[in-house]
Amino acid sequence: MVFSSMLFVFLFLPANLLSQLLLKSPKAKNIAMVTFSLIFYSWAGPRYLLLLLGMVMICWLGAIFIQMWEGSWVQKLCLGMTVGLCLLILGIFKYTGFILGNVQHLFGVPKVIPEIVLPIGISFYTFQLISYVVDVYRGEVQAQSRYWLLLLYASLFHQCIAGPIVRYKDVNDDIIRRRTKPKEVSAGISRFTVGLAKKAVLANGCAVIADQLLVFDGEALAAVPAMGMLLGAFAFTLQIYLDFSAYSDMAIGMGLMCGFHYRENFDYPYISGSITEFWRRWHISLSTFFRDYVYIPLGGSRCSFGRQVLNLLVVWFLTGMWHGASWNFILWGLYFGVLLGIERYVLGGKEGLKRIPAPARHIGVLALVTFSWIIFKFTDMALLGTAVKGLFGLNGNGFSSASVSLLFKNNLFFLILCVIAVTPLGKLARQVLKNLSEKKEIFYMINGVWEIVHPVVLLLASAMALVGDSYNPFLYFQF
Amino acid sequence: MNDRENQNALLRLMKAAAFALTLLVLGGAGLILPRPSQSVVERRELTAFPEFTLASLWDGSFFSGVDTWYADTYPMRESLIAAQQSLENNYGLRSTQLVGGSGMTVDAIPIPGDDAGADPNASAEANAAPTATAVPTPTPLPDGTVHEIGEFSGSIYITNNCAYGMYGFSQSSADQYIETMNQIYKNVGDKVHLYVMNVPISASVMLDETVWADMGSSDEGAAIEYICSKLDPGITPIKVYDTLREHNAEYIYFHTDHHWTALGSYYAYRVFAGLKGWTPHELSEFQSTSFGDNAFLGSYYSASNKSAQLAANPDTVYAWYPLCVSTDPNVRDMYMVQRDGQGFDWRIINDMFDYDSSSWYCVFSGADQPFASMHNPNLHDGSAVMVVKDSYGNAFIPWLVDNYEYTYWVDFRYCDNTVSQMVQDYGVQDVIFESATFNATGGLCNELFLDIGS
Repeated sequence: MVFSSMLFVFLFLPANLLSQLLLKSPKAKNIAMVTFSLIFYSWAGPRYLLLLLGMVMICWLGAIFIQMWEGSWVQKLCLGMTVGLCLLILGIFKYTGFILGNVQHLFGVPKVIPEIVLPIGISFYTFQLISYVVDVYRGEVQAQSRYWLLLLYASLFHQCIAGPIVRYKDVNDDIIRRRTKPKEVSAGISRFTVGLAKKAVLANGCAVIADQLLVFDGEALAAVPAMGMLLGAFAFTLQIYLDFSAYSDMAIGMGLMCGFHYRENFDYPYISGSITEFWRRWHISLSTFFRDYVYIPLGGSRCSFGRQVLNLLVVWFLTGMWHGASWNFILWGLYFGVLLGIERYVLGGKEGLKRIPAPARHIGVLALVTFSWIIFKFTDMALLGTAVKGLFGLNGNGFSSASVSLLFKNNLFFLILCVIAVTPLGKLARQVLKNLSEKKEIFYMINGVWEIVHPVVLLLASAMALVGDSYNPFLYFQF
Repeated sequence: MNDRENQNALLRLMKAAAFALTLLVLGGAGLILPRPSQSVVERRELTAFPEFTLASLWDGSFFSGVDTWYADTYPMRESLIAAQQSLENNYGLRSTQLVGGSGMTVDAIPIPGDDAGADPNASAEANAAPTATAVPTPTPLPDGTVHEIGEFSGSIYITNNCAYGMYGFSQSSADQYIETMNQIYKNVGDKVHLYVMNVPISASVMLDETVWADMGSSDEGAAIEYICSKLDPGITPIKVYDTLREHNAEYIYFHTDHHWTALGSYYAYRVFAGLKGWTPHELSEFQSTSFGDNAFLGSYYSASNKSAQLAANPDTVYAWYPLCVSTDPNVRDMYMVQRDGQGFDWRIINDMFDYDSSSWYCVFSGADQPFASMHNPNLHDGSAVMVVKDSYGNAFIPWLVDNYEYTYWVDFRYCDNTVSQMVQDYGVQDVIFESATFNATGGLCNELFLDIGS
């Protein structure tokens, strides 16, 4: 099931919220929540559920043993085995086909590559479980003695299949003793409906434009002129942020309505003035995971220059790999690793970048990020080559065409709206209205009307956009 | 707690209530209200509730099917889609639109006689074969070519409140189609005169060629020329493309539907009459009628998800009664067999008011049926023609029936018989194989052509 389905929004979610409203004890609420989460996860087939249950069992036992053997070499062994087992399972399901495909390409064997279906959300819940186990090892959290509560953490439908990657220590208290506060419920309603509309109306609308231009047919792609490729890349840049951040918005919003507090996962990344800043604002839960569990343990930046470069490349290689079992994702990760290295070691880091005028920095970052999404989009390397050539007008089909200019004109206002939606302008306007409402009664009334009306309008707009759209998967499902 | 805090608390309560009420109303509607089973606009059966099996449960297809069913048959679906379309009409400057994108893959169309592998003699022979010529016109006809760049909606281009589909040429499909026509000629060429007619879509006829070329559409006129150049010299092509372009200031294609009008097909009839050496009947000789005055919204309207531009420019279906039939709506003049095998009498120009307005093109020739026939009581010469056709042929057939004692027509998409067998069964002298160029060269009908041409 996905958040952007009619069934979820108008049946599953109301039933879940009702259960949390009617049930009083934390235990009953948790039983209901884990039941809903398992149903949600089973929607794609219960066979995936067995894997989730098994991985939670491994980490539950692993963490208990780690805590039990604190200070002993057995603790390290338990940590290594638990994390290793998690990564092995993730590797089997996610990377077997990719690795064997490359081996076959190089050596001609094996003859047949097994087709292993990627269980949805496995990358997200595996990383959550690893963070839990490592945090127990580090003594930052206590091992959870009840299996089903750890299962609740890993399977919580708000974030189980598409993030954000929630740390156990951030939600442990909410699992045990959460309270729903009217102010948070109100904020959660706004956040959820904004996220839903962002996905259903804006992201899906951008996808319609991007999919017409960034096509997966070599001949058709080569026929798209340079302006078409740019428009497609622009639309996809908007789409991927609106889509992914919408999912996080909905997760955070649903969490607030039920008393869970998830950290922000996006902070308007497209206003960044550097690639470093971009990654502080984009998919924050993933970048902090790699920072805390890979980069810093490897030595981070407090080591020799050569080691620093190696650390950087390892982290960004893994970041790319995490996004998908394909060379383009690895290329995409390394692309950012190289850009970050250039920023840090060639341009002189934060201070050095200040020498570049701010508008030029912002435009440069946007151009580099937009280009990165082209790498991200095409898993077929031949198509990627065609797309990159097309971006620079090297496919011999001219600069633009009537259909491209028409597509742009037909969606001009929509694209402007999307651009506004990826900036903090909306948030700023809300803050201004809120400040004014504290000073003048008329603005208080306007603010009040807005507060009551906007979730309803956004729900209706989303229903309009979603209806008839029977299969509407989020982009980040593949991870 | 002060007043402002009380007000804020009330506000939050009202917000939560409004949110819950909206969920309740929309969720409740999905549970209580009757669900539609088919979509008139999309012309399809909506998704049925999935059948439960352990296998479908295990692999997730059951719940996935439930998801699809829930959204696809949501009670207020068509209203919500219409509302969404109204919203999308404000997404940009849409006086001209492109619906569905231009990601069409097209092959380059070989220039007849220019390909290395072609037999120059065959090409010359093909050129020497009788070709369609327009009825001479003393003065140039007004140019109705649309030069504006319009709005795109799907693979449909909308400009001046008229929709135009885009045409994509596939070399392999065209070659297979040509091979099939030549095979049919081999099979029956000694018994009948075989005519081949490829009908272009409105974009190729009505739009300025720079417009459709810019949209990534292939040159349909060139595609037709290519086909004609490769047909066996014994086959007579009915070339209607140039004639239709000459008349493009007239109402020869619908604005909201992909078909030509009866008037468009009349000009094709005149081309055919020229090939046969007949003096074609003038339009004024026929009694005209019209259906759904300014209320016909056809396939392009559906495909564009009810484009507001098209809704503002509905069509009228004009028809002319053949001279040999009565205008009395109670007199049945033709016979047809439906796809379910049921046969009954019908009218060659039939009032379709009882049907959905999107189906009004079906007034002609009983629409798309596996078999239909008509006897002309005014002739007793045993002349007979068989038209193998797609839906474009429907509007063309009423012009023919006055010229033959017997007219038979089959839709190649639904007919199980072969042309060879039917020629033998019905003893016709002429066979007209009519196919829209997009069917002939688009690949969708390859198998069907093989079947009927075998």
